[in-house]
Amino acid sequence: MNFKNFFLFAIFSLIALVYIFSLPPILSTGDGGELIAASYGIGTAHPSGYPLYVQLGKLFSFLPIGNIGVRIELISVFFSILTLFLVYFIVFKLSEKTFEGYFAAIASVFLLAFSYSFFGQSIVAKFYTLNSFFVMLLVFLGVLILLNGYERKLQFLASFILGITLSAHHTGFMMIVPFFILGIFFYKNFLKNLHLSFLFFVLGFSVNIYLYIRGIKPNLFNMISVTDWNSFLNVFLRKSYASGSSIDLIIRGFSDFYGYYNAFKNYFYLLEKNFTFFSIPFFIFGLVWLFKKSKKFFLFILISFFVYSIFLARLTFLSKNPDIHDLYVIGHQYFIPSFAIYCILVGLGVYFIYGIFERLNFNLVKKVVPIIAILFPLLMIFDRLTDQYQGENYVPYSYTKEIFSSLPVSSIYMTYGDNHAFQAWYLKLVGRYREDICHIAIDDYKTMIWALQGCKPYSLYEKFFPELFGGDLIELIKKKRYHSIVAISEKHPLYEIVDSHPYFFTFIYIEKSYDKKNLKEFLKERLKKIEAFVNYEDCLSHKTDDVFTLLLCNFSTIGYINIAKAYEDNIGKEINFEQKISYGDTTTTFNMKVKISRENEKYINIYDAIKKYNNINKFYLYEGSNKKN
Amino acid sequence: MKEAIKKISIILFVVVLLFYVKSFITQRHLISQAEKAENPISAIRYYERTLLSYVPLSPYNKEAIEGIIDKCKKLSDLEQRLYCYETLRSALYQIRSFYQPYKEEIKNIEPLIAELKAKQMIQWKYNNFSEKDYEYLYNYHIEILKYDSSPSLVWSALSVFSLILWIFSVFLGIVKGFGFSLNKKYLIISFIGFILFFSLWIIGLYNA
Repeated sequence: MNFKNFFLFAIFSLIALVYIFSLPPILSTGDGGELIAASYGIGTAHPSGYPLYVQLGKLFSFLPIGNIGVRIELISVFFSILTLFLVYFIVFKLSEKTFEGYFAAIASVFLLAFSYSFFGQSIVAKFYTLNSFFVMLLVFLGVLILLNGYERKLQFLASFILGITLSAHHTGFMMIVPFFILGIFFYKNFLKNLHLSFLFFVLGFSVNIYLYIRGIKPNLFNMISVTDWNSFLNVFLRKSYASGSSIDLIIRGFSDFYGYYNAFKNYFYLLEKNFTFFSIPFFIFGLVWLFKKSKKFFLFILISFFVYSIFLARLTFLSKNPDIHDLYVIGHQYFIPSFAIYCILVGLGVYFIYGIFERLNFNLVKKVVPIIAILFPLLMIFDRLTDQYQGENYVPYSYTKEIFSSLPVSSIYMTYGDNHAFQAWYLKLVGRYREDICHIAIDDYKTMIWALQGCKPYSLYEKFFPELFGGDLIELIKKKRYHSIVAISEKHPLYEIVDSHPYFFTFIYIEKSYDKKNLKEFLKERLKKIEAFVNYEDCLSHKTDDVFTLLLCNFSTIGYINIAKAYEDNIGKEINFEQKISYGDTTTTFNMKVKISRENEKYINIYDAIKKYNNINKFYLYEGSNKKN
Repeated sequence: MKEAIKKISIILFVVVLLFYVKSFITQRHLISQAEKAENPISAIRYYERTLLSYVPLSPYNKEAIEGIIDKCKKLSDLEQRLYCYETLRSALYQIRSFYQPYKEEIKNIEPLIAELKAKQMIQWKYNNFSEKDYEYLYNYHIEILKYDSSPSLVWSALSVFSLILWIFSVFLGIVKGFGFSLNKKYLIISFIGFILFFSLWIIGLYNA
């Protein structure tokens, strides 16, 4: 191994080391729990099902180190490193494998590896680095065609990979646009081989057969089962997301061109947050260099960049003032491929500047600049270790485990939305913790239509929850075994007959007619028992600015108010605690008056500390957005 | 193609090696935290996390299991004892891979868990159960504890490896078979590979 290769090996090992030490130790928030459960059970995740990711997850789950959750998170590290390697290779190849090109390529790798969103997606159980890998592989194939001339095998490979992308993440398929333009305008053999290309595309696409085969038989976990053509289309085209379905999104891209203004503005904001303003001149130099090198290259890379940046932003990220949800769910995830292309162009910009120095005989500057070009993005490691590091983030696991531990044997646990449900599925289906609990998940506050993935097989649970399966919830509520994340307000279907009362991190449903004095005693006794399981340390030491972690910790604070209430005595100053809780478009208010004395002030201090440590404004992308708005 | 496979294998090897080192360091740190913990629930939590950073052949695995069992025996409160045994069982299930480490421990603690659950259901006064329901409740809980809905190890391994191999066969067929002229040898090999592994993939998925 020569020095060049050794140095490269050391760089990629360093990046892998930082990523691996930053992985959440058990599971990540958001889709993490669901994707791990689907992977472990070789089931179907939320639409579009993500069959390739789930099967790779199963493969990684066989690794006999760590736990199942963290093994599946390793997929992101692995494909992230492969993506970075392709970025390196593309810059190096385009710069004709020169010494200067080598440094420029390393600079672009560092810039991407330690940028905020790419780093964030490299350490969680999600499919975005897998998708970026495919996009970069297609860009690489395009570059090969442009460098070495047309070869039909490259066209077939690209078609096959395009087919596979539809089993990873649909945005990967958008690479068809630059390929089609390249083929139509520059290579006449492209159309001649189109029929065979289609065959290879179908072969790649056939990974999706998985959805049907795993859908027709009952298994550990299916978010939605695919059992026929209609249900396949429903899952594959993400029809359940209505206006967010794949087809509706694409149609939106060609209507209302004014939306492109907001898309550009929002995307530019992401670039600034991820790579700073300093990178923009290099990006422009990169474009200029590419244009001078070859118009075909310029066109191919520019179109690839456009579809994954402005066009994708036009489809998904066009709010006038993006809120925290837009920034976290869309801005922080969808644009990873465009960031990789951006870094390729920045790397080429750096290379272009070397050329200028060489022509001007600035020899000293030429020697110093490579070092600065590498060290500058390397400094971002320290930023990432303070905002994205999740090596000690046990929150999604411990939070859910504490809820389960607080419930009486054979209780119902009802969650709302994805974040709470996904973690519960992990704990129940993969961790097999407290299998006596029947977990049901709802998506609409105003109905009681639930999903029963956390209560299977029905034949077993039916015996012990005849009330639930027979539709008599009141009987179960009378037994004080119905607990939920959902607080009941007048908009809730059970409002007329049931009250919800704060019970640790959750709410217990009690019939309205139940004696208030007995209820007070019951809650006091239960909370004193549950107190033993309290673990507030995780919410005070997770070190990350991950939005869902911050939200979970904020939600957990009601638990400490509840315990403080259980320990209150008649002396002390009374304080009113009020907290808004949102369930989609419905907001309820948690309200509790607590007398603070020596007996319970510890819990109020914990409440304050968690609130302070988990301030939502900590989220890096939101920080700037707040100031801006 | 050989070069690409070599590079991917090196990356995979480095990732796994670093992961191994990280898990071992984490275990060493957590086990010392567990020994220092004053509160039994807190100690159980550290032991659990030690186990969740499982490293084959590490002495800390057994130490963590023994630590949890020791704490479980000392807990008098039924809910806390249930928490303790459930924590151990769950941690062991979370570290299974192509084999289940410490299968015997799971076998030993499941009856204890079922017993604790049955007792607690009787003690929960809102349920209207009495001592005579104990056997029924115990049997029910043991049935749930023994029921494993995880996919078959052999079939699922067969399916995921077959997926990788059929994708590889198509890659091979394209790269080696469609040069400037057709290479029939590679096309036939990759076609046979594709048919074989694609079929195994489907069979594996169906039976898993």
